[in-house]
Amino acid sequence: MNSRSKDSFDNFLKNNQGIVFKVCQTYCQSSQEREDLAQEIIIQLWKAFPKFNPKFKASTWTYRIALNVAISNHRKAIKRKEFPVNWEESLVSYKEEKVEENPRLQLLYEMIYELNELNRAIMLLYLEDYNYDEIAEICGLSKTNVASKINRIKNQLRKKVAQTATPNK
Amino acid sequence: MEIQELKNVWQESNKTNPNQWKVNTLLLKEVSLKKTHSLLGEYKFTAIFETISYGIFWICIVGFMVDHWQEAPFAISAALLGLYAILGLIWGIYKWRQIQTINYRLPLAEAQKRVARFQLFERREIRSLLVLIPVFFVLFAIVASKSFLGLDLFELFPMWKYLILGSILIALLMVWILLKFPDKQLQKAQEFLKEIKEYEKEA
Repeated sequence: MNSRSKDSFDNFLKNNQGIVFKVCQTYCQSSQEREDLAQEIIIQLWKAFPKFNPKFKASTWTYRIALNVAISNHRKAIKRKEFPVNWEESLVSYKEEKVEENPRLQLLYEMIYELNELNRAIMLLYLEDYNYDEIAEICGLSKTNVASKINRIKNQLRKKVAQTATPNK
Repeated sequence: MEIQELKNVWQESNKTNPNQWKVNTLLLKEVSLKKTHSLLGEYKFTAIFETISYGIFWICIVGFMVDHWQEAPFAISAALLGLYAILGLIWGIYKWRQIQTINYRLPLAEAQKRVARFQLFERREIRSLLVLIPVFFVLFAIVASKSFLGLDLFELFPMWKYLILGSILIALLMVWILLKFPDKQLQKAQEFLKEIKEYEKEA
């Protein structure tokens, strides 16, 4: 990749890195795993970037790659010692910050981690306010299939919220 | 609490810690120079390595056959090994072609189906090798001893027929063991493939 395309990749990543991090947070629970996955996703984006067709929406393209890498790695459960590139410095660093604990956010994460890898992707896109057409395009499903899956996830979510509200039941 | 409320909580959480992540894009320049270790890269490397190895093995076997075509026991042993090498070569090329079709730019269902199918191929290949290795080991020993050490194992071991019979029995035992103890990774790949098919199915 020449320096011109390197610059355009820098811009591309700047605009879409939020997607990478959200995917990492959705698929990994520890900060080390998140760093490793973010690194792998960025490498895959970098490698695929010359084939990026600007007529596609950049966020959809980024989501496809990020989610595919996350699902594949999640299933393979690559250990850190085997992981990508041994740079002296890290390509990505993640700072675990003590945030004010939000029980609703925790509940949401609990719910996300309970879903399988494929439904987790739908849940993430739904929470990110993507419409059914976009979710269908990223996941490779029909719009009606996406709608019914989201309905099911929503019902699960409602049940979970209700259980938390009345823990003795 | 409504779903919309949870959605708001999620979207709000994205804004709270903008400095949690730091990307050093300067290091990206090194990606093309340094060897990276990725899942697909690993698969590609294995397939190419296997294909080349089988190719070299086949060339060596053909060379041996040409040298020993008048000695029937050696020529037959080499022919069987050559057949094995050819099948391995075809399988390696097929695997390599399969990997070429996997790319992460595809929609999730399609890309993951291809990855799962490939993993299934790989596990099946490992299991078949566990059966084939005992079968071909004796033949390999015969050809290798003659080729590298000039030893004629047919003469040294007049009971060679029993060795071949023994290796077939070991292979049969392997089949029994493999059936008795299913491969967990193979099952996982099968289950995931089933999961993807379910995922694609209209509700």
